[in-house]
Formats: sequence, C-alpha cells, structure tokens
Amino acid sequence: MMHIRASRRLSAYLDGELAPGERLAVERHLGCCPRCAARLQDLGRLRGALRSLSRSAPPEDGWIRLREEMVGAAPGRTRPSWRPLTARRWAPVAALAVLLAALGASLYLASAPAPPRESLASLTMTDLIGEEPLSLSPSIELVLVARQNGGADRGEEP
Amino acid sequence: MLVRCQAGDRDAFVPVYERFKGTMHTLALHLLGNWADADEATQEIFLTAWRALPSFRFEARFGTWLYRLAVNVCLERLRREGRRRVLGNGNGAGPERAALAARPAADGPGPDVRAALAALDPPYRACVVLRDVEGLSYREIAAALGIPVGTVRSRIARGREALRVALREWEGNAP
Repeated sequence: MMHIRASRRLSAYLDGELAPGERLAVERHLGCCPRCAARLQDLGRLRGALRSLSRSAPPEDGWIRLREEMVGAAPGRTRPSWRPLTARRWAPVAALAVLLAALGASLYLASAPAPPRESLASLTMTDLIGEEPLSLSPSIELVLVARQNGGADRGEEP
Repeated sequence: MLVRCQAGDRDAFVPVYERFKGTMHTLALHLLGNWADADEATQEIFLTAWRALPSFRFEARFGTWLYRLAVNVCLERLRREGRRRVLGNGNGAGPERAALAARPAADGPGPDVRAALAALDPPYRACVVLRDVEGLSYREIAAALGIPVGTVRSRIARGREALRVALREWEGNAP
C-alpha cells in the first residue's frame, strides 16, 4: 500500500474500523514504514488522552430546574415560529410606543426656535390678555400699573 | 417508560434523565468547552427531548436519537456564539489554551488536550468526541449525526491529525 493511502487509514485502523483487506494492507505497510509506525503510536497516545478526559455531570438541582421548565412544555408542544400578540405581549410594544412618542416630542421641542425671553415685569396687560382686555375696574388697573412700575424699579436697583 | 413520557408523564422522564445526564453533560462540555455553557446546554437538550418525544418512532435506539438532538443543540449554540474555529489553522489555540489552563484542575490529561479539542472545527470535534470520549462506533456516530460512515471516518482522521499536530507544536514551544 502507498504511504499516503496507508497514513490516511491509520486512524480507522486504530479503531478497528477497516475492512479485513485494508487492515492487512496497512499492517504490511507499517512493517516497513517507521514514519507511519511512529504516527500510529502518537495517535494511540492521543486516543488514550481523550478517553481519559474527565466525565462531568449537571448541577445537583438540574432535575428540579428541568422539571419546572417541563411544566409549561408538554410533549409535542413545540414553540411556533409566530405567535399572535396577546394582551401580555402588547405591553412591551405599548411601552416602546410611549417612549418613542416622548422622545420625538422632546426632540421637536428642543429643535423649535425658542420664543424671545421677556421678563414678566416688562409685559403689559395687553401682552398678557390680548388687544381687548377684559373690562377691569379702574382700581384694579391702577394696582396692576403700580405693580409693573414697582417691579421695573426693583429690576433697576444695583 | 418512553411511551408514558410521550403521554406527558413527567415522572417517567426521571430515569431517562438519570441515565443520560452524565453522558449529555460530558458531550456538551467537550463540544462547548466550558462548564456554564454545558450546564445550560444539558438543560436545553433534555427540554428539547421532552418536547420532541412524540416524534420518536422507536425505529432507532433512543440513545442515538438523543445524541443527535444533543449534538444539534450544541452546534446551534456554537453557531449562535460565533465560536467557529478553522480546522488545523491554529486560530484561537493560544487564548483557548490559556483559558482552559486557568480552569480548576480536572482529572485526566492536562489542559493541552482539552484546549486542542476546543480549537477544532465543531463538525470534526463532534466526531472525535463521540468516538474517543463517548466511545461510539463509526456507524453509531453516522446515525447520530445523520452523515455517511465514510464522512465520519474522514472527520475523525482529520480531527485527530489536527490534534496530534497541535499538541506536537505546543510540546515544542513548551519551556
């Protein structure tokens, strides 16, 4: 058997998975090829190391946790790829919509031109209540004018 | 017992879990490379098996059916987490080796073998683990993975050769 063909069969030879004819051919080759003999030894050591890899086990409470999950998963009940949106499933969608609306509103307000800043003291009654003020009694108008003047005066104080 | 499980009897599933929990966890551990993922994968394997039991037709051995399901769960997890390694190119071998060496010492061979195994491309790793760790025959592996026996033979040979070369290189670089 050619060296390359034999070397490709060493792994299956080691496992006893070759047909009798192939096995004989590999054995004949091994008798005259020290490289393949050395490689077979290497593979044997590797297989021994892999076989001695530690066995493991799930955590002690593995069955308890599994049983809890099995309660909601009857045999045959596979998870469908699409499920109708129930009221419970609407909740996160609604929350997201509200959040996006709030975000959009705040962005709109932030980008809108800011109104001119005027102090309340500089506003007249016309500014506050329009061109046609409510009919106020003369005494009330007098008090408002006096308050405006007083506020302006206080604003000019150092 | 399996018929009772198929009918929804959770208590009948206890012996199934007890019989296969170690095998499934060991398989998951050596396919995924770490304990936390192996714990989660084992849970997922048994839950998936419980859900899928009505599709088991008793035409194959239950163990083979479960192995197939387990390998699919583990390979899907590896795909999701993008842990693919290219066979034999050594990518990730260094960090893998360091991470595995940092784990608590386990019985058996040193961390190099586990690290080399973790660096194998998953399809090759699955074949090597099923053969050398779980002790399945080539025919059983072929049935478990749904691939021809010739492919199993080739993957085991290439996987072992990649491990052999990796271990040789690490031995050569060892101080």
